[in-house]
Amino acid sequence: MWIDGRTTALAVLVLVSALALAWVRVASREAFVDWQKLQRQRDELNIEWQQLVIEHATWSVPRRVEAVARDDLDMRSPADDEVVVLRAGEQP
Amino acid sequence: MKRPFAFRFWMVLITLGMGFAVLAARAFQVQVLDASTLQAEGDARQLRVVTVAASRGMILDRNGEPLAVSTPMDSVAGVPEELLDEQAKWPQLAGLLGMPLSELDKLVRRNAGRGFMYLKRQVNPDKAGRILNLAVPGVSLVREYKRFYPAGSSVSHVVGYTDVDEKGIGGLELAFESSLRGQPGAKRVVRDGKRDVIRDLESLKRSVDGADLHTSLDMRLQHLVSRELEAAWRENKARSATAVLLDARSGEILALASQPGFNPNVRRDLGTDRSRNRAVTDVFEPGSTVKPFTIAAALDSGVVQASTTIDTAPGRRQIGRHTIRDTKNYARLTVREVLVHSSNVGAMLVEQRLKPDALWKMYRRVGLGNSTRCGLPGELGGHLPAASRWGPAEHATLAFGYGLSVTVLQLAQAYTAFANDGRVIPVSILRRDAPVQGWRAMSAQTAREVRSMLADVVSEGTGSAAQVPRYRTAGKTGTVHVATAGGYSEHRYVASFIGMAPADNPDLIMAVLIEEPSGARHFGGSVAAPVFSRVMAGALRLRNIAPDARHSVDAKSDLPGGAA
Repeated sequence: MWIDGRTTALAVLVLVSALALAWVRVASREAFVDWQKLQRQRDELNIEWQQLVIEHATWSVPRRVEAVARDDLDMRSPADDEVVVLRAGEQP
Repeated sequence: MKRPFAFRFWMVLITLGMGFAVLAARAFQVQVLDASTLQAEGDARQLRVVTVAASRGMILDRNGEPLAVSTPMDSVAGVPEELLDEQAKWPQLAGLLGMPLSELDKLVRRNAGRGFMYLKRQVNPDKAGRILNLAVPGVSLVREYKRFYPAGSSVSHVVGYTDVDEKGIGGLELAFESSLRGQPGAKRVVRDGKRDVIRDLESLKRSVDGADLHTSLDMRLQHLVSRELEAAWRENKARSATAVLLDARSGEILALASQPGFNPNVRRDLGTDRSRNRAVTDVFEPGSTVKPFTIAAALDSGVVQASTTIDTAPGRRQIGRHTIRDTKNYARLTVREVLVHSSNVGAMLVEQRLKPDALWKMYRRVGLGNSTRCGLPGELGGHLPAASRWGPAEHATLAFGYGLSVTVLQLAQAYTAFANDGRVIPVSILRRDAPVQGWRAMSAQTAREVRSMLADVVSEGTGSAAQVPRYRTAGKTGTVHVATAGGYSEHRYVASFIGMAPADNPDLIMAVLIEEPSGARHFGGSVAAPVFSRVMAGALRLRNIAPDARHSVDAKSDLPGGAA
């Protein structure tokens, strides 16, 4: 068979590119798996966050805050004659 | 020389050769000829395209408090064919699903022949885990999202609700469905023999989560409004009650409540009459609450001044076959007093001085009988008869609010003209980050004058129950008879109050409507105005609005510390 330098070089390049293709495919699959893992992690954190948002909102609904303030802490709104309005530049 | 066993040698060679040839041919058939079908068969068993769920956006109030949040739940799915082979495990399964065995039996048999069925939707993850641990073949979990409404019934009419598939059905959930809903994605996965996903291969389409919706509502004010409205609804044994609280300058809807209410977390309440948002879906005749616009039209065109006297004696007028009545004979009233005492005859006489289409134009400019297009679903436009169709009777009755129909939200929007020196600010259910200009409905002078009359309505007229300690408020009462087929009911009323505070520089506008109160009282001034007063007292404090009526209040009460 007649082989010159250029053919050899091309053959080597083809071989390298073939190997590189295989390597890139493996790498991309691995990266994809990593990405999926991170996405799952993100989703789980999102889920936890959403559940915390709901929990926070449930604990802090005005209806409940009001009930706790009134019944458990014995608080009440100040009566009309217990309010003093202060204005800037005025002596109370 | 002839080799010994040559025959045998060739026999073996040929036999083996034929064997290899058959193998090669088969290999050729499998690998080359049938490759694509076999590959497809293999992929069909291993590869699956699964959807990637996208979460629905949250609905938030103006301060970022969540009003509707999605959280994942597990739904229990089953393959009927496989389940039918596992009847021994049914009692246990039914127990965990929380249904009688007979029901499970019926459910599975009804779905026999299908490839997939839901055994139970949206169970909590803890229970779902135990069901999965039973390891019943054919039973698997499907991740779904469920909508939670932390605020419960207090804001349910505005926020609305979704169906079990998270599709918006009412309220903002329906109106903003396209932006709240996410775009589910797809990915290709490899599954093992037990159908568990063992690895993800590639992403086919990325999922896009729904966008959050920032509403104009303020949860604290919403709670205040809905609490007071519910109390008034119960106390007055009313058919329904509606209230709207607006930011007077920006037109943002800070609170909007209706009674009877419903809890969006309880599915059986949904889609009933209770879930209607009456502030936009129900129209009513506004009655005296539109008299300020009659007065404004007259002041604007210069045909009267606030001090012009009108002779209303003897407290009634005959227009065709209708008699227009006042509650008593006020005799001579100034234009200001017409509003303060809410004289029907006075309003009618003021309107008679106007050009024939002047009042119609004023009503149009402030948006009465026209949808606000604020984006809440099911909003009605109401009705304002065309000016060309007004006869003498229409002129008289439209002057004091009969013969047109509006929604509570429309009426509240119309009052922004008095609060903003003549400019109507369109209402919005979404948070506004930049101020809107609105449009001019009357001169600034007229708006200020009517506002001061409205303050007199509260301080010395029909609206005294709308007073708020330490603040000057302005507003108008309304009491109309319920329209029935062929006339007006004698004993059924709609009581309303609409007003603003503080009177000199309004920050809030509130409209309250109580439909058919059947307690001891039925006047707007005695049924609706107290709700305004109680809500405003709390709302002005929460909004940090400085009291503007300290002199009158100081004169009445002895403040500790001797405040000047």
